[in-house]
Amino acid sequence: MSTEDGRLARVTVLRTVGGSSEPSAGPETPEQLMVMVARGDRAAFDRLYDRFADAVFGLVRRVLRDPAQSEEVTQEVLVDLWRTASAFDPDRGSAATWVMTLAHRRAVDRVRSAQASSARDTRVALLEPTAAYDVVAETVERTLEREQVVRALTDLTALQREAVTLAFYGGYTHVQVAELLDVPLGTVKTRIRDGLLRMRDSLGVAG
Amino acid sequence: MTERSEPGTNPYLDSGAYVADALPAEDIASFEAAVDADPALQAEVDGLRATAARLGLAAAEPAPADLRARVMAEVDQTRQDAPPKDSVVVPLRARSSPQAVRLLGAAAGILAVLALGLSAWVVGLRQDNSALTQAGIEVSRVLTAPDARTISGAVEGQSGRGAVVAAPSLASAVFIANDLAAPPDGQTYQLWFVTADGSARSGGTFDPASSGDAAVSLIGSAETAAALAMTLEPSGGSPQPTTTPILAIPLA
Repeated sequence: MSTEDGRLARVTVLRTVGGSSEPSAGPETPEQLMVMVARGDRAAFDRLYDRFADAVFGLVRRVLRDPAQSEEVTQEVLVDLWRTASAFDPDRGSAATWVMTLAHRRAVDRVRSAQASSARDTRVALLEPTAAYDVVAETVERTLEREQVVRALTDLTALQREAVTLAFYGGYTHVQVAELLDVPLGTVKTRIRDGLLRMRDSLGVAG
Repeated sequence: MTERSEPGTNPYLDSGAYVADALPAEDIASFEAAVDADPALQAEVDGLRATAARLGLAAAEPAPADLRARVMAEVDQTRQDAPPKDSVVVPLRARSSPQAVRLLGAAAGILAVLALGLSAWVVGLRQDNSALTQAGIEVSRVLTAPDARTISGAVEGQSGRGAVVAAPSLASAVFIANDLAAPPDGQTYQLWFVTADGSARSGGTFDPASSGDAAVSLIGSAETAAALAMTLEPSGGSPQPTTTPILAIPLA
């Protein structure tokens, strides 16, 4: 019966996530940390910060560029992780994806609200694709993770890479990307999607 | 893999822009509706979202050293998402210390409540077995949702306690009660969503089992309601409450 199966599956997940971890014993998976934080475990939040603060700050800064605003938004994101931890569902994806999704959305929200008052310098924006890509290439050597991502970006066509980096790192809507690149909207959508699909396959990301 | 139909007609075309937060605000709701209706699209979005997260991780750089203290200071003053403080709050998954014990305890508790609720389930004469099964599925979904939370209250003037278990992620809620007296002959219990301006919308009728237990999948969303109220009504229920509520549980 589907009710029975669904319920048992959920209980099994609970057991898996919480079953082996003693308080203050490490190292936990990020997913276990999120579940502990959801239960109000303040010490677990300290360790979650250690895992993700640099990732959140780096991504937010990449999108926003302004250091002061980036710090503000990073703080918002990290406090939000604490506040909304109970909404994290380990069945639906990894903790890293959860954290990065939240960070990116917040950074983009800030960009959009800033754009409402002053349009960004399109000339700078047009130079962006190469610039953004170079920054990745430059800081990447530190970890295998970064090398893999850069390799996957390198494997894209130049047009795909441009569309993906403008949308993701640049924080532009697809409409804005289309205007910046002076190509039809449908073309931009396709480039972003095909680029990410290709990266997904070369990174071996589990769908 | 590559759809090339016209923009707007094929939701797959938008999946990349969606995970890159590049869809304009006005396009998000319709895309998400398409995702909900299509497991394959959902799977694609999940995979692309995880891919985008890798792009995010690749941008990591050391956070300013003083950020930590500021974040921790704010966290120390930030309540985690929870119901209002004038209600009794029992997070299903949060209690006593070692997590293993806690989680297993919560799981056992959920199963106990389910067993209780399902065995105690009493439905209106109109409802057939499939309706009962459907309601049971809904109750178990809500009780086992990761963000399920419980707000309880005591029945006034007679024995019994009632609780609302709401899962915002499912936009769904159930009502659980125990120790309830059987309603007087010709009457039934009816639940109401009450909004801030005092208007009431029926959340369904029920009669407790002989043990006094009940588990009811509430009709409609609890999101816009300020409280859940329970009244005694003539059998079959009323379009609007005709008696004073004997239980009111604040929801917002």
